[in-house]
Amino acid sequence: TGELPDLLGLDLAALRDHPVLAEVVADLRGRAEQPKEMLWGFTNAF
Amino acid sequence: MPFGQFILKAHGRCNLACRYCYLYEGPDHTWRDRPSAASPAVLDRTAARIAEHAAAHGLGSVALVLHGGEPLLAGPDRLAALADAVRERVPAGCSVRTTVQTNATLLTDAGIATLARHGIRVGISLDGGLAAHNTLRTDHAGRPSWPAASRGARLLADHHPEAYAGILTVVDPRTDPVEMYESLLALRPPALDLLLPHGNWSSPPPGLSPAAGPGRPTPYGDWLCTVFDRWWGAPRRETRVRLFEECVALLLGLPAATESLGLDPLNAVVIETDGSIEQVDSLKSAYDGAAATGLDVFHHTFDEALRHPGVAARQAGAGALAAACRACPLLTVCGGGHYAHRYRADNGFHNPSVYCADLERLIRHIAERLADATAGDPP
Repeated sequence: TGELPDLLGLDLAALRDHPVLAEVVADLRGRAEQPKEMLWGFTNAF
Repeated sequence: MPFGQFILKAHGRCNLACRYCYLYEGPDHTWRDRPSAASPAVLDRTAARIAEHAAAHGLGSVALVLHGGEPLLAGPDRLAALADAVRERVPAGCSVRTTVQTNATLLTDAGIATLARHGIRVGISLDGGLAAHNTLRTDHAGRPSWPAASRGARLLADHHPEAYAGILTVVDPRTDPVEMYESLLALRPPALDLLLPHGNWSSPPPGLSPAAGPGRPTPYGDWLCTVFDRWWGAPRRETRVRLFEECVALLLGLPAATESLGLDPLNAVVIETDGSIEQVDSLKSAYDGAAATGLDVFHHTFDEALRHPGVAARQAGAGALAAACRACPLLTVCGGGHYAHRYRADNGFHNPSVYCADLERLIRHIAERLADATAGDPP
């Protein structure tokens, strides 16, 4: 209930012994700097 | 924000008659008055308008989604020519990422090879990886689509993995979540997305009683949490799952690439077979004509579509949300959920998602798992 756990500010490079988390975070490399118009959010297609 | 994702209705009809289809079985009937296929003039003007928009905004990349209906009714050669036409028109330095989203029944080895040769990747839509999951996906004579669809999926996985974009599946909480997920894994998709069925407060999704209020059952959230744990606990990432990975991104404070969660603006626009410029199809699950803008590629630029109130609302972030959402501690992750799921006939889209409780269940679950996994890495 209430607030979510604070997960902001985690060191992504460090996150990259949890294989799924490591791969997910590796894919997110550069996401923060990516131009917003290239974040394609339409969900009814790949 | 300029449009970056162009959804082109390459064909306006479908060879299947899925009984739950929001497009053909829902409240919107605009498809009936439109041509079955886009004419060469529509395709030419669309390519020119995309190029015009890319040039006006200096876009380094755009996404072209060939959609329907069933886009392969137009034939692979026509889809390839269309993708080529857009690539030829956009400014130098602007790449065009092209996908086709199909029910997979019309995929052939030669057809996939043609698409792949022209840089078109293939996403497929299935209700699961077993015949029993796909009983509602029939053709117009009531015959099951699964034999042809599964053959198409295997062709992609076995012979053209480089052209395989992934599988879209709509969540059915009556199914066994792990069996469903593992049956999809058996089709070896590089990515999955798990979509909540389109519904809203006036037309609730199957099995949901949103009027039950706080503490109501969360069948969709429960189902997704079970799949998440199976995916998250595997010894390696067996496939990407867009909904889960974008939720992780949002929890880490990053922007998301999904309209299902988060506050990031949606920059997708639809071009119908008659050249009409529309908002995304999911709105058609709300009411007849919900996606209309009154604009078309012959008389209007995409910049004019950006000024449409419906488009602007999808780019307004928290400003477009109900007060309850703006006050919620999950605001930046949930973002009010999918826009279409907020609709209620008496006040439009200014409501929390009809899936509010299910989304909270899923987001808190993923946050807990992520917090546990990162406990050794303090901020």
